[in-house]
Amino acid sequence: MEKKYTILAILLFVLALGLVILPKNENQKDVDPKVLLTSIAEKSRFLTVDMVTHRIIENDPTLLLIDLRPVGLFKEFTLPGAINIQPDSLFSIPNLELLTQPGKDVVLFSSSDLTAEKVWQLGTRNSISRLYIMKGGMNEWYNTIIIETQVGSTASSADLDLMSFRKAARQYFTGAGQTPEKTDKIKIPAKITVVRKAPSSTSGGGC
Amino acid sequence: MNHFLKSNLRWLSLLGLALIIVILTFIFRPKSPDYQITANEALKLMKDQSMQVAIKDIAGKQLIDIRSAEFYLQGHPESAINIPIRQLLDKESVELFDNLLENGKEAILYGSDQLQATAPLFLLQQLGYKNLKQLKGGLTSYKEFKEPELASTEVSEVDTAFIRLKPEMNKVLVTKAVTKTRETVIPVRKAASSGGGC
Repeated sequence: MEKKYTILAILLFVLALGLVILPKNENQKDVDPKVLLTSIAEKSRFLTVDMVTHRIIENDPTLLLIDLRPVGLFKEFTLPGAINIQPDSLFSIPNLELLTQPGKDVVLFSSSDLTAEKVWQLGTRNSISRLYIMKGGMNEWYNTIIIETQVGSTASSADLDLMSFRKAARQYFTGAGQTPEKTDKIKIPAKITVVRKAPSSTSGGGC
Repeated sequence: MNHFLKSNLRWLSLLGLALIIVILTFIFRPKSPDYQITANEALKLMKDQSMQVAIKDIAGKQLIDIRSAEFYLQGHPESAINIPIRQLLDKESVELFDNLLENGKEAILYGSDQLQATAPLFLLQQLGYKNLKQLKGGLTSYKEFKEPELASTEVSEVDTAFIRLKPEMNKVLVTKAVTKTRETVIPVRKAASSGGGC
């Protein structure tokens, strides 16, 4: 065998040995920090409460709502179809399977944006795609959809359409407007009772 | 051996040159910042409130404005430097953060509000920059020179009692609110009959 092939073989063996000896990169599946920073700066991860509400009403099958609030708040009230995940257990196997379902847009929300932002970042770092945040969280949803706001007289047609949508959404979630909202006392007609009085005796005009 | 070298000088030279280029590239490659903690360890950082700095505690610390340059030029604290979000991991920015870390100095990130700096700071913490903190309330609190109203922990504003008012509940309330009816008596006079006279 020629010596040059022997040298080449030895060289390849040394390189292979180097690959075995070198430490494993634990963060191999992590997204590059610069790529993650670009995603943070773009803000394309945010969905408005109107967009989310529209998809809830339309029963969009691709929508998956994740409530990151404490269990107590979740049990009091949450958006229809929302699933509660505690941030501490974000990377548990069941939660990872839930977040990586194919064909689903996972929308995270908490009371405001603080927790949802951090969870989104960790999920994106872990190469979980199609993660979004409902901008403003549950507080924004409540103050925008549930609480009625007045429209100014100079509002544009787009603003008027938006207000109409929110009014309809309010009715959808609370039933407001279909029955009297106020609990005023309702007047029922007085019950009429017929009482027969004995006729006064009168003479028949007789003798 | 000399005969071997002489007869294979060309390809040995090329091989040696290739090895040198690979080694030099590896040694002098641009070092991009990498995560210093795993994602699971970062979960514990989420609830860490020590990264929030109140307005009264910013003395002696470097302020870093992460807004875009045009907003920075519209107004900023005197000692603040501008590093827009997109440039936070540039070579110059990383060198600055490394210098601050080596010298034991702290820097405080702020945006137009507290939420703007939350995500960038969280990322930088995962890259090992524990000397970076966040200004409570963002620039708003600095301008007003008072404690920010925004809580560092989330507070729910949802009034569950209100949204539970559904139609069924409305009917129950209506029924309970019915007043006691008044009876109206209408006398009906019977037709008088003759006394049976003569």
